Amino acid sequence: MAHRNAGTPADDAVLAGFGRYAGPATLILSSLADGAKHGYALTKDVEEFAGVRLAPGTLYEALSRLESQGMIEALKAEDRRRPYRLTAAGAAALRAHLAAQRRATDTGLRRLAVNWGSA
Amino acid sequence: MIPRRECTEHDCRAEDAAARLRAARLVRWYPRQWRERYADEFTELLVGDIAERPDSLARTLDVARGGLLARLAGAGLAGFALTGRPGSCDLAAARGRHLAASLSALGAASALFLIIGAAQWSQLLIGWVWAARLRQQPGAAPQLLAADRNATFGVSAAILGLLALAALAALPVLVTVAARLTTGGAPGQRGRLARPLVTLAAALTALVVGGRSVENNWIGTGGLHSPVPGGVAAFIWAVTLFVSAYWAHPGMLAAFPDAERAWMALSPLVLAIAVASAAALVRRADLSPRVARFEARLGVACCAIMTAFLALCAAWLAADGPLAGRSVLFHAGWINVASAAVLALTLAAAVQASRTAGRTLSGR
Repeated sequence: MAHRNAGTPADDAVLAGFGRYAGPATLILSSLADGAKHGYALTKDVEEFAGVRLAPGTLYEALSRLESQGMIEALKAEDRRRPYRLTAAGAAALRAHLAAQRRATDTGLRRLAVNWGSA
Repeated sequence: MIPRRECTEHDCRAEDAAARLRAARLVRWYPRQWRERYADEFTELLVGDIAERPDSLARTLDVARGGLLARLAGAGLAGFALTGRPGSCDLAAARGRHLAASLSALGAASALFLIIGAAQWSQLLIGWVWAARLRQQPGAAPQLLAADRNATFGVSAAILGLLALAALAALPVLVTVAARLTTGGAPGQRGRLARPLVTLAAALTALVVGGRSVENNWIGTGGLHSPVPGGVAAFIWAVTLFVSAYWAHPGMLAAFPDAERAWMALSPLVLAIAVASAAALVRRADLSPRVARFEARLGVACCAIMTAFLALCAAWLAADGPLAGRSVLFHAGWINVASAAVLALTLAAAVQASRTAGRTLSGR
């Protein structure tokens, strides 16, 4: 399932509005971009690709926020575990947020290369 | 798949049961509405986490923090609209409930501020009247400082402003409640509105009757100039009589008339019932988006006036408080310091509720 609509700055503002939860929210959305997952699988996936272990309370704080903003949706529970999947709005917000982060990252790396040389 | 240490079937079952018991205890940090939605899946996650890290203070603290935040969000003081069971309701309904909770919390915090603020105001008025009496005696030392006068006039204006805002806020809520009661509204809504409405009416009646019967003990203005009419000052004094330093002096309190002591014990309960009933009405009235926006704007104005009120009180306490070292009969005491602390707390709650309402209205 691919959503090709480009994220806008407004989409990015939605995720940035999460404040201190923007970090966990970005990680969760990035994980769900690969397919639906339940809480434990999400934790493991995020730990694997980002090296960050989301604590249970933090994970569900972010999950309930994302769900209330319509960025993810809950699927039918499987053996008491409920998988979540990315929505179109969530994909747009993630794309915009990551694009903004990439601009900052590219700028930082370029300036480092110019002034401090390549590593 | 949740990893598990190698164990016998019996040991595994015992470990699993112990982990579930611990997870169930941790889930209790969260409010009922949150648990109804997330408890099952959250418990599974916790059981997995406990299997990996049996002892983790960080996990306990993280869950406790999450639970307290969820409780604040449920009270409309933080966070976001909590969705119901998947597919059972839409986001708009969840946001409507969250907005109603925020406005209800905003109203309750403002009402508490008004009650404790009125007690401060009453104290200032008593000081004003007695200072005027003492001034009539030859050779009497001046009793009032500029800070006392500024606080008396400023706080009087702020109280009038808060009362005007309260009337403006109450009107559309009462009109909405009347409309819901006459047209029916959602199933069961009549009963859910009628109960707090009747309770509120009864509590307000009790306050008026009780306040009027005790207000005769007010020292009176003695025909002297007062910033507010004597009857109003007497009533406010009587209704907020429970905000008193005499609780710390049981011997002196015992000398009060029985009816006055009974009223001092009963009136905070009646006031709490009135505030809780009004908050329930706001929460259950299903206000239209237009009325909700209006109420949120009034809330912002209310927070501004409350901030000014608190600043005046702070200036008064600094100039004439218990640490100022004045030995005149009327000066601000520790009860006023404690009241100012309560005012600061209620203002913080009101500001937080107002910000949450604003965020919910703007869809963030």
